[in-house]
Amino acid sequence: MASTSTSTLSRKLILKSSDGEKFEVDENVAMQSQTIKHMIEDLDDINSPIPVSIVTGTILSKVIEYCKKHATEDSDSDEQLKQWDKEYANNMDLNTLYYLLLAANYMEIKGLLELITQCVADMIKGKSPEEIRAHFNIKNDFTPQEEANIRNENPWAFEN
Amino acid sequence: MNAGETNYILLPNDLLGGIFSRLPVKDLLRLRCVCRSWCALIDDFSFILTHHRAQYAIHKADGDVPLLIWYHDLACGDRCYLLSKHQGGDVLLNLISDVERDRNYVLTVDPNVIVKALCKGTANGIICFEIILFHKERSGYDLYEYRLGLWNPATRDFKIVAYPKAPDQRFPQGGHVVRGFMYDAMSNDFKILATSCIVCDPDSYISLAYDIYSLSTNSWKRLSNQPIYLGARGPGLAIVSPSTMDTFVNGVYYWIASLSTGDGTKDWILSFHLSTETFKLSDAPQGVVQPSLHLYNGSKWEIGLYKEFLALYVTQNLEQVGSIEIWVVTEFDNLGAPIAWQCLFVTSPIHVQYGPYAVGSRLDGDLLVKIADTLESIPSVKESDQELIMYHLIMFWIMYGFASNCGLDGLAYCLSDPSIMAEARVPVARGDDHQFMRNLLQDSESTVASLRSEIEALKHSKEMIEEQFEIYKMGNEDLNLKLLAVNSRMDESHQKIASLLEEMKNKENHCEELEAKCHNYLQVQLKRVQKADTMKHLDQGKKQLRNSAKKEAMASSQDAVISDKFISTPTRSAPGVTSTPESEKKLASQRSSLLDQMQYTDEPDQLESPKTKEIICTNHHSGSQNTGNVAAKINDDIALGPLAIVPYQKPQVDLLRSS
Repeated sequence: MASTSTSTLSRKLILKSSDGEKFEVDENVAMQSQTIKHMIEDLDDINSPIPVSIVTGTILSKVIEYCKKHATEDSDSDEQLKQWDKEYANNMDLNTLYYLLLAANYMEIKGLLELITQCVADMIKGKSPEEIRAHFNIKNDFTPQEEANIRNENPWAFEN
Repeated sequence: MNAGETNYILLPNDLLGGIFSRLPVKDLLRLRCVCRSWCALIDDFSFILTHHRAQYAIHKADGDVPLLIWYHDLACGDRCYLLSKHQGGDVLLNLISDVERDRNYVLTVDPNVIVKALCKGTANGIICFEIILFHKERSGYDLYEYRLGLWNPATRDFKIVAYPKAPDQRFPQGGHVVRGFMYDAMSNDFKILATSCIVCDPDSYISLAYDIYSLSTNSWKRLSNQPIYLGARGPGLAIVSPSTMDTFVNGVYYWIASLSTGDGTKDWILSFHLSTETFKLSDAPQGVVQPSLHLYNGSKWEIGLYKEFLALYVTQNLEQVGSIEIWVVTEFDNLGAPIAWQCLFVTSPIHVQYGPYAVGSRLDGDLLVKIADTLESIPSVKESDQELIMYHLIMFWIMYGFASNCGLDGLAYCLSDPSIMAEARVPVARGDDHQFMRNLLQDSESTVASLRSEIEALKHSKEMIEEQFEIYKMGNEDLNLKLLAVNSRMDESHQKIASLLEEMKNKENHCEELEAKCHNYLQVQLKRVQKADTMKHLDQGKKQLRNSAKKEAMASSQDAVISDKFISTPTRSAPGVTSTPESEKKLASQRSSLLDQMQYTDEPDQLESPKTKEIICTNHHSGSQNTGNVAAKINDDIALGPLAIVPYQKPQVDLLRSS
C-alpha cells in the first residue's frame, strides 16, 4: 500500500500490449497517460505488467516513443518539440494514425490525441469529397440524386 | 481495398468530431456529401456547438476574435465590416456584398422594392437584422413592410422571420422595434426581444408590449410581467436605447434606459434576465455623470462588454477634448442586475470634436471607438492605467441623420462578435444533449474559477503592492529621520566650524595686536634710544650753553635766565625721558647747536604719538573686538545659514513623512 509513494523517480513500470508484448518504461513516461495513472493508483503490486488491452505492440511502441520525448521536454525548446511532433506525425501512414488516434484516446494522452487529430484534419482540409473518399477509402453510400441534393444546398462550398 | 483494415467511418463520433472541429465550415459542407454517417455527424446539433466552441477557442488562442462593424448609411446603403487581425495587422473586411447576396437568396427581389437591413445584434455567430421593404408603388400603411432576418455568414444561411401579428388595426405595422438578440445557452436557442405598439382604448394612448421570439419554436410570446415603466404611456415610459455593443452576458441582456419622472430624467441600467424573463432597473455607479443630450459638450453612456466583463463606457467631451471612463461590474444580484462597479481606467483625453464613443472591445483589450471629425485611424493612444491599450479609432459619422462630409453617416452599429468567424449555423431543431449542457456548465464553472483565481491573484498583487508601499513608506521615514539626524549633525558641525573660525579670527586679531604692540614697543624703544642719544647731545649742548653762559654771564645775566627757562621746557615736556647729568652737561657744552636741537624739541610731540597710537591700537583692539563680535555675529549668521535652510528642509521632510 505504502509502496506507491516511495522512490517515484526511479520506478519502472511494465506495460503489456494487446498482443502480449511487454515494455519497461519509467514511471514519469507512462504517467502521461491518464488511464495508466489511474490504473497505478488502484494497483497494489506495480511490478506486475499493466495491460493496455486494445493497443498492439507496434502502436504501443510509437506511443511510448512520444511519451518518452515529452517526459523530458525541458531538454528541448518548445519550437524543437513542435518540430519533433510534426516529423513524428508525418512519418505515420494512415493505418498507424488511425490506431494511434484510438490508442491516444483510450490511454488519455491529451497531447498525442491533439497531434494526431490535427494531422488528420490537415489531410482533409481543402480536399474534394472524391479525394477524401479515395484517401480514406470511404464508400459513397449516397445515391447520385441524394449527393446532388446535398451539393445544391451549399453549391458555393464546392467552388474553389 | 488495400487499406480495408482501417475505416475512418468507424471512428467513434467524439474522435471524428474532434477532427472535424478543426476544419472550417466550407470543408464541413463538402464533407457532408462524402457519406451518410459523416453527413449525420456534421448536421448533428451538438456537433455544431462543439465545432463552434472549438473554432472560437482557436481564434481566441490566435488573438483573432473579430469585431463586426455595421452601420446604415442613407446615401450609400448598408455597410458591414469585419475587423480582424491578420499577421499582426488589422484587416477590415467588407461583408456587405455577402449580406446582400445571401439576403437576396431568400427575399424576393422586386425591382419596385427597396430593401434596407439594419443590424440589431449578434450572438454566437448569427447576426440579426431588421429588414425594411420599401414598396415604391404602394402608398399609406402598405408603403413599408417590416421583417426580421437571421444571417449566418459562415454557412450563408439567411432566415426571414415575421413579426408578431399587429395587435391593433390602427397600427397595421405594429411599430415593431427589435430590443435585443441573444443566444440562450440554457435552452440552446436564439431569442429576439421586440416591442410592439398597442393602442389602448378608450383614451387612444399608445403603450408598448414586449414580445420574445424563439428560433427553436419559430414563434412569438408576449411577456406578461413587464414593469410599468416599459409599457406605460406618456411620461414614466423608459426610453430604451439599443447598445452598439454586445450586451448579453451570462443569460442577461443590458441596456441604458432613460426614465422620466416628476424630478426629471435619469438614466439607469436596465437588465433582462432571460430564463426568468425579468426586467430590472439598477443604478449606474456612484459619481458617474448622467448623460446629457447636448451633442458637443457633456457625457454619453454606452453599455457593452470589455474583455468579457460587462462595462459602462462613460464618454465625456468638454471643449472638444474627450475621454472615456470604463466601469466594470464587479458584483451582480441573482437576476444579473449590477450591484457593484469598479472604474477600470480613464482613457487619456484626445482632441476630437465628438466622442470618443466606445463601439466595441476586443479580447486583448483593444477598444474600438468612434470619433467624428476625421477618417484617419489614430493608433496607440495611451490611457492612464498601467495597462497599455491601443485605440483603433475608426471614424463614423453618427450625427443622427446628418450627412457628413465624408459620406459615412447614419447610425453606427458595431457588434463585437466574438465568434463571427466561427461556424454556427442556425439550429432549426432543438438539441437535447446533456453532454453539451454539462460541458457548458463545466465551461462556466471553469470561467468562474478562473475569474475567482484572477480576483485572488489581483488581491494578492494588491496586498503585495500595499506591503511594498508600506516598506517604502517605512524606509522613507527611516531615511527622513536619518536625514534629520544628518542635518542636525551638519548644523552642529557648521556651528563648530563657525566658532572655530571665530576663534581663529580672534587669534589672528590678537596676533595682529601683539604684532602692532611689539612694533610700537620696538618703535618706542628705538625712539627712546634715539631720544637718549639726543638728550646726551642736548646735555652737551646745555653744558656748552652753560659754559658759554658763564662766559657771557658777565655780559648779560638776563640771557642766561631765558636760556635756562628755554632749556628747562624741553626737559619738562618730556617727562618719560630720564635725563642724565651727562647729557645735561653735553647739552650745556653744545649750546652752539641749539638751533639744530630745536628740531628735536618737536620730538616730545612725536614721543606722544606712540601713546595715541596705542590708543588707536587699543581702539583698534576694541574695534577688532567689535569686528570680532561682528565676525562672530557673521559667523553666527553663517552658522545660522544651515539653520535657515532647515525651515525649507523641514517642511519637505514633513511632506515626505506625511506621504
